[in-house]
Amino acid sequence: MDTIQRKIGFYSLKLKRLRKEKLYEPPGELKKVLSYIVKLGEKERVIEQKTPTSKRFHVLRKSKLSQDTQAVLFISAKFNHRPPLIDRDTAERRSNPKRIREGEEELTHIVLKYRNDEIVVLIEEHNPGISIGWLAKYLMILANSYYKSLDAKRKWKIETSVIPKDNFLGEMRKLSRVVVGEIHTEKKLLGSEFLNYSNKTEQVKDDLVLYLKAEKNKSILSPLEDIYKKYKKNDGEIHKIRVEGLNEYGNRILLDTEIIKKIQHIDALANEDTGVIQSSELFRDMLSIIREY
Amino acid sequence: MAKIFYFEYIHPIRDYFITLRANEGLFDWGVPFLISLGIYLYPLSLMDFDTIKTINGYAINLLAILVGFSITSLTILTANTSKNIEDLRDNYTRRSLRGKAVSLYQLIILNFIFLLVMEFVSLLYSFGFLLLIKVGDLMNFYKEAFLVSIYLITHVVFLNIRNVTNFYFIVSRDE
Repeated sequence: MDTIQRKIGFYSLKLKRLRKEKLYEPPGELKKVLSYIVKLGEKERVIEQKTPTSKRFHVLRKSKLSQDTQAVLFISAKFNHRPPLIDRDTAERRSNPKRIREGEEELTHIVLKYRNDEIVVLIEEHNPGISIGWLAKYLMILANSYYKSLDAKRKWKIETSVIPKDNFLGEMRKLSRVVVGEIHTEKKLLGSEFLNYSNKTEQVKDDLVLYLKAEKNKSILSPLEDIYKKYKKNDGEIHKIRVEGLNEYGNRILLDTEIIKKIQHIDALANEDTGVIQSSELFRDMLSIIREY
Repeated sequence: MAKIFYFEYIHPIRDYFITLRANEGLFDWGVPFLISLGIYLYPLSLMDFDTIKTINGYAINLLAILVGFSITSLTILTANTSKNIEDLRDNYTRRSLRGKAVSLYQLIILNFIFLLVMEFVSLLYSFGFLLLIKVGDLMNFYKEAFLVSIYLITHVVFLNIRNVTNFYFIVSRDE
């Protein structure tokens, strides 16, 4: 059996109420949505992701709930792409037998833990799979369908946040001088609400970056501490904070909430014939990690 | 007093100003002011009363057409059940009225209602302009009196531009 190293990302999801700022729906609401999705036929669970460069779709394959943890398996595939096949050993090419609407099945293993005020998510991070952003969109699209079946409307949206290491603030406080702060916020600040609603700002780079620079021999630790607290609140406005400072020896230190996010790697067993990961083994490892939270 | 006179028309006007942003205020009020000032300082000073009377007649027609257009747009917004319009109700702005967040739907309806109110005010003024200047010595200031009409019309046109732009964003939303 081969092993493949898989990167695991840690995120926090919250169901933010649409009508009221700072109010959240109980995380258990997502359990209801997931159990509805699982009862749908496979065809009804297909959601297409369109980007300028590729077309792909995602399907929630199966889900297993056990007390406060849930293991979810997604299948993603890129379609509308049928290049010829080439052999690694002989370099011979042949026509690709798959249909244009077919794609190679890529699995994404996701584990959720429902806590009182958030849902901790461990997600297998690999390019062909589903990203945390698209997972949120997928769930919201099918949640609309769930609520429609109850003659109701979805009254929340999913907020995702990266889980940084607990000591980001501690590491920042250790710096003898904080020189530069880079705060990456939502591009929504660029235009009016109607312009943002139109999604016409998609082609603009996602983040709006605000720079804070300290005056000579001064430190900007205090405002950055406040900004970090706002970032940790998970209200979605701040995506990322990068801080550059000097330690006691005058060396430049860079702290980045994206880099500091908890990334662990798991060695997963793969099928020798297909190269596909053994789901049961990977889920077992991911569940044992998330139970520590 | 409220039992005798009807004052409730103040509500949409007040709500419009409460939810107005600085850049929008500049567009709706500031730019028309500058344009009107420019017109007053040059072309208007060269016009005689008869020319102004003719232009006033055209202005009334223009305003009547704009009123019709605004009412049609409002009808489309309120009667349409397409996804883009329905989703407006679930999208909230950071603006608030009486402590509650204002949805995009409320905001666009409010802007159209205010636009209609201003169009009616402008129409009324344009009609009344010829009567107004007969009062006392106001005939000596007919150009200044007409300037108010120019300002109101320009203001209404700019309000229309902003509302139509927002309407465009709504109906042409990318998924």
